[in-house]
Amino acid sequence: MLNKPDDQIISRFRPLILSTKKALTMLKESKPGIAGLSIIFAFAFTAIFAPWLAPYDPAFIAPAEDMFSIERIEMEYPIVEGYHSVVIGPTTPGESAMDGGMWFILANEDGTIQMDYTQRAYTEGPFDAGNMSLELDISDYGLDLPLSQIHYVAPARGYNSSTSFASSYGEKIEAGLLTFMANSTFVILDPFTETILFQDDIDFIPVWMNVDTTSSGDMFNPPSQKKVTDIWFSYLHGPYRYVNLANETRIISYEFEYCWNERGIDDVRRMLDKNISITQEPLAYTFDNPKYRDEVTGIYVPSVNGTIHFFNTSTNGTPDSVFDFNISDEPVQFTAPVGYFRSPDATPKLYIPTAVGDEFSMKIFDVSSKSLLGEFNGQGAQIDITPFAAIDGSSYVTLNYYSGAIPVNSTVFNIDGQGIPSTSFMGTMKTLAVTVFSVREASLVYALDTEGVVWASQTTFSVDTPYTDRGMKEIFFTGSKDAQLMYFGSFGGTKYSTTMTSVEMYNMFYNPETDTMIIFQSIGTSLGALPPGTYPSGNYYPLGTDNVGHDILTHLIYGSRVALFVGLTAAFFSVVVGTLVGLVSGYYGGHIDTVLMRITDIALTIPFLPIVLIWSQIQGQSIWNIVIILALLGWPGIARVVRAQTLSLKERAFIDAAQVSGSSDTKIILKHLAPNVMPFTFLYMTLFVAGAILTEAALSYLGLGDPKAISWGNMLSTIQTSGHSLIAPWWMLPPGLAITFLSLGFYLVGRGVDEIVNPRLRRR
Amino acid sequence: MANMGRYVLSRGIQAIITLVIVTSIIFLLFEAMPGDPLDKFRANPTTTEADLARLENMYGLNDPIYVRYVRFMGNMFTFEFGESYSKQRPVADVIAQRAPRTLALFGTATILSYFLGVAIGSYVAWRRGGIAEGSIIGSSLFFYNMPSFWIGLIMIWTFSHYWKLFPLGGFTDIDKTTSFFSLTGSESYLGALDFLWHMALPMIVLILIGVAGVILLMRTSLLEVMKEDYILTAKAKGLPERKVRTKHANRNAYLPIVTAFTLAMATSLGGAVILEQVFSYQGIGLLYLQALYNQDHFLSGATLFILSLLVIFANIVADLFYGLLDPRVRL
Repeated sequence: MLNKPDDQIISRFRPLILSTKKALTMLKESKPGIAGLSIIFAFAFTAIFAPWLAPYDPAFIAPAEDMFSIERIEMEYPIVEGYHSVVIGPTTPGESAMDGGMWFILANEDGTIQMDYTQRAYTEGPFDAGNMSLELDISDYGLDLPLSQIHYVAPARGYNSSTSFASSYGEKIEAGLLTFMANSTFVILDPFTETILFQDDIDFIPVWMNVDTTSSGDMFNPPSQKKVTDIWFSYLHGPYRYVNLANETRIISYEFEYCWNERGIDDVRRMLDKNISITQEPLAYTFDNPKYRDEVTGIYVPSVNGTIHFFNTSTNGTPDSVFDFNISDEPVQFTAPVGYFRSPDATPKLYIPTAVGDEFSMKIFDVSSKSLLGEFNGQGAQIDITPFAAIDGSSYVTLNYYSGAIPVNSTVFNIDGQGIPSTSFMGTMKTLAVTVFSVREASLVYALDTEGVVWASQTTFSVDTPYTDRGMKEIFFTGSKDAQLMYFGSFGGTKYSTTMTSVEMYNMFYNPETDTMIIFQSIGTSLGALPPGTYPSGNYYPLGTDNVGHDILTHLIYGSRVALFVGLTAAFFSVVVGTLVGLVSGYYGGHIDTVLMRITDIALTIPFLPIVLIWSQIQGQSIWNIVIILALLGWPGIARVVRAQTLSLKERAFIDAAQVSGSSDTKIILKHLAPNVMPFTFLYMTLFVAGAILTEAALSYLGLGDPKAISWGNMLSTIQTSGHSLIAPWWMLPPGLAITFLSLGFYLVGRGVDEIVNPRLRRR
Repeated sequence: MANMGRYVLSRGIQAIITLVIVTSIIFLLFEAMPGDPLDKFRANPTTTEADLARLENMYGLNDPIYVRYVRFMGNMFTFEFGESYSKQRPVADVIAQRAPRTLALFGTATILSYFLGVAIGSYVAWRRGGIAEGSIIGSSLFFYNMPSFWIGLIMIWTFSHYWKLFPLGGFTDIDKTTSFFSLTGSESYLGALDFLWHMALPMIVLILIGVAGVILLMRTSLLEVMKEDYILTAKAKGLPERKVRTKHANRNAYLPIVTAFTLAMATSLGGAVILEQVFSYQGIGLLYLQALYNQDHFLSGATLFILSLLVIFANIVADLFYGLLDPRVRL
């Protein structure tokens, strides 16, 4: 009775099952066959149970604390009680040579000033090369106490009439000036010659005191100069420096000429003295792009009712061209200091945080065209907006959320030149940010909160980054709620330069409780591929990691899936094609045989790999392409073997019987020949699987594999492309060995089959 | 020898058919490839529409496909390959410079590994069961199944990087070579030394992989032959063992080796693409790879054609050799 479909199927495939059984029984007698099978099963086991065997998830990437070494340098300063603050003095701002240094300037209310020089010229070696320090006491000069508001005026390359541009900074250590308030006296002091260059008594102690963006070293291109018309000629003078002193009702700005190669200062004078309402810290903006320089260089004073008074300092000696920017028609208030655009390559922009009632708006203002470029608006009394250092066309903004009257947490994000927030980066902190800045090349944003914790986040994320891994993360505790965090720049003596790399960039924080200053690398040096071992995060990487931080063992285990899949699928397809060609060729004989075998010969002798390379350029990169390619490679060999088998089977009686009973050729081939040939071809296929695994690795190595697949070939390909082939043996050896062993397993099984087919090979 | 003549003729015709088919495949592949030879000119902002039209005309890009096919075949078979963009030289010149290097490396390596493999393989087959057999077969099995580029990387790491015995790659670097061997002067032998020193490591890798396969094949083939009746007959006749081996067994065991050699030339020259990349050996394989990456269509097409030509030529030579060895195929 053949009524059950199961029986029918079984009966149809009986010859197939029988001969498979026979082949397997015989394979059991072959030692290499057994060895090969065990290897294959071992790999199959790892492939199937990969999620349980692998120590990590395949998408796992070692955390940054393992992958990067972040250099931290601690410095301790003895500081007496009272007012003290840290000022950084870059001696070669904007210079690409990086052979200057940094002054750390600490000042106390009691009039003592301490200056320490640090340098790390990358060509000269150790960090402390050229260290020196000096101490000053302003009471020695007969100045009144207390000392407050100290600032450093960085040197800059100067212009003059004969040579348009001085080429170097010359003296790179004893460079720069100090300006500060001694009680109500404004002082400019050269700390190296220990002489007071200028002093002027004003009647108030300023709330805000700052130097221009050239002097603070906060611009890429420091010089600021202006055209001075002599009796006959007009030529450039400078760089001119500005110091703003202001409280809520009055601003005084000093102007003087100072560049590196002149010990003293020239033309120092009280350029501006106005009684106006001032609501935020004035900005002395020096924008060094000749196209905009004359229009935008000057002093910006945030006043009331949405007006920013602009005193142009570029055209001539007196700031007579006062211009009032009306940021808004509404009576807006300025809620935080104005941010500015640092790079001279684009139009000069200001980032202005404003508020009307409970509506908050961050306005982006082009000061050259005097037009509003865009704004970012928020509503609700519970939120306020602060801009922080505007970097390269985008600005960082913090939104502070309040609970009652007290701000409780902050969200940091960046907005573009039109005020549109970036969708890729929005980092919410659980605490309140007091300082935020970004490090340009490293694509990192740093924040210090009110608790003294430093937070950091990347600003760009790859598509693969899980959402939970984005945003601000606590990186360390400074040790004090009163800590100051700031961007430090490079030990080469510059804060911003177009040629700086992220490795050179440092941040620093100052802990006033322990009087320690800690300087840490902004991004850290990537350690590259990690050798096997336990790392700071507590993770153990048994075979190390690759350059991105993938665990090698995990990828090795998951790689067996791709290898087996590609090998077996490719083999299956080539067996199907090869068997069909072989059967048809062997059964029909004659011209069909000749033509098919000629094609087979040709397919066997063409240079396969180079042709495949073009093929994959056409088809793109995917695992299936590799499978198709390998199937195309494999069928001719199998066709030959099957043809030989068919030739001998054709002479058997059961084929004659089938022919006599009137079966069609197709039926004979599919029903009588194929089942008898298939088991052996499938076992022969194992030899081909070995080749397929090797070829897959080679194709992936040439970069033709699916880049997203975790395969052994890809692992080896990345070694080469990331330049680790000579330094990471823990990464190079495992995939190659795995390929060798798996290929060997299939090869041994193939040999075992060979012995069965050719019994004479077996030992007596 | 009349049979031999017919045999040569039939092989030659088959080789030409193969070459025509392979060249047609190359044509079709390049037709299917995204982009065309003018992309390089289009990318140049100074190129005008008129220039493009003139170039299109010049390259005949608007002709119907069969015209282009006939022209392509004609160009290939007359070695009119055109000008390479990336090299700024005629393609034929570039290939004429590169092809001998690849042949020198891969041809020598293949031939050497066959001589070595046959010798070791027959030694192993005649002395079954010893430690020598076990270790040789064992290591052959491993080398045979290793990815060639991986052995290359490991060899570079151990011999070039760690022990600094060989250059890290490249084709020639006369200064490094002379300083390594602490030689001076500009004698011509220094150039040859330089060349050989750069070729040594890739050669070792090729031989290691090649020889492993030949050993395994030779051993199998010889073991098979040894069970044949005519060997028993020869032994029974009282012929000395050495004579049985050389005259009776080995000659018959060579047949599958020669067949394999035919296929080995194809895979070996094809594999030049990957091994030359590993060793940055400036041969035709690396040239092809760079041409593909640079979208230098004329150069890559011609290189592929020449590679195929070399492979097919190697096949003919092997076939003729086979014909000499086995009189049956000539019938």
